[in-house]
Amino acid sequence: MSPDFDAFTLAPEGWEVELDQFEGPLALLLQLIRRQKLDILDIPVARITAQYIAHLDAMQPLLPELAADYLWMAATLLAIKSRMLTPRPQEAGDEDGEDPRTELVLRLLEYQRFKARVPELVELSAGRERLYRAAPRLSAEKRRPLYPDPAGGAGPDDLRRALLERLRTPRTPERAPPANPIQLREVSVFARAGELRTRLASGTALDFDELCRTPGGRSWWVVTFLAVLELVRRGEADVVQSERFGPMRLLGREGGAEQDAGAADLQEGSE
Amino acid sequence: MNLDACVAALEAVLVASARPMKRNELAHLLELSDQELERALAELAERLQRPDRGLLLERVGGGVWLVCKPEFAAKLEAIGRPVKEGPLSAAALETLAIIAYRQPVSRPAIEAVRGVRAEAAVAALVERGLVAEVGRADTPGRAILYGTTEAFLLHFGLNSPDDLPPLPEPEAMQLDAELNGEVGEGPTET
Repeated sequence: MSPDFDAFTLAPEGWEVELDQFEGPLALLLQLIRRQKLDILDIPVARITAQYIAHLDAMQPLLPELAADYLWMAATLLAIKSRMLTPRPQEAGDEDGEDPRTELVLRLLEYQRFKARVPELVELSAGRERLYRAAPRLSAEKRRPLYPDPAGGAGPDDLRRALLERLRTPRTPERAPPANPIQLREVSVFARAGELRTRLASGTALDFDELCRTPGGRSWWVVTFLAVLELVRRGEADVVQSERFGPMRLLGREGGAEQDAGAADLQEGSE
Repeated sequence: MNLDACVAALEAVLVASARPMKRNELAHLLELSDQELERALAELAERLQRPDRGLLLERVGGGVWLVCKPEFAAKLEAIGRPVKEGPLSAAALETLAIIAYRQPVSRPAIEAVRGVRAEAAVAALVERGLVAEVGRADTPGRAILYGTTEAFLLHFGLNSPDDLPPLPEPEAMQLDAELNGEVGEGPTET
């Protein structure tokens, strides 16, 4: 133990640990130095190290795991302390008699440079929170359609509107759930899509409303809706609407010329 | 355009603009020479300072804009929904100072100064719009570089980061009375 070691009482109560853990080990060191009015260029390393480590111990109950940076600084302080106590053999690159504290002191000074700017910044911004202006209006953004719009094609808004309408429409008897509650009918989007695909393959256009009016309860037509979206997404079908707010039709896309001809027929009536 | 017309046009444009307008933008928009614009701005600023006006002309963020006089803040808060954010933490402010003075600067460089990880502080500052990514370092690893934004300038009432109070030299810090509680000695010879 260095004879300079001062038996300070390191009880945390007397020290007001104001620092929140995120301010860092340099801030803690600076506070220790400042509180005791030490000369930063001639830090009593043994004393500071003991105090720093005592602080970590005190903080331990508050912080389940001390940040690695704090522990690293403890190790650094101990290394400096041991270098100051024991003469080291000259290593290549070592300057004669370099103070082992130098690097730490430079870091402390550098940190202090910026820490001291904080009150200035606070001063600059003082009062500015009372200078109000109107928030800028959002510019009317041109809405880009999400999908390429086939002539007379229904867009996502139309589909959403149709879905919402279905949700709001009160149940009619034909859509009531099956009488026997035990009978659970499992529907998969995959199966429904396959079914639709088969029907579309023959060239017929499926009326969207009709599809949704199929009895089977909400889950059935939600599955239908998802199946339609899936088919559109995969490029296997198009949703076409010949007039605004008009009925929508599902049209198969893949396949032979019959499909294309069918599509052309419908498009004639489009806007 | 005569002076009154210039002043009126400026006022209209500045009230409506979403951000400070640069002087060359205004000169171009209103078809004025730099001198005419300056004269009109000075005139508008002066007229606004009178007690029967509610706005102020501010030169900030490299441009000019209009703000409501602070004495009306309470009234405005009653009718509007002011966007209020909590104060920045000490850690965030230190980080902001480092970025402001050292920009463009990488996160490891910030961490080297503060002695702690800067990820959270930088993220908080980015979230507030006070700093942003401004590029990547040329060094291996191509670390992201951060710099302050226009919002930073507006927040602190500055025209540019150069308007920040100058950073004292490290050697001068030893004479910082605040730090030592007394005037420090000269550097010790090692």
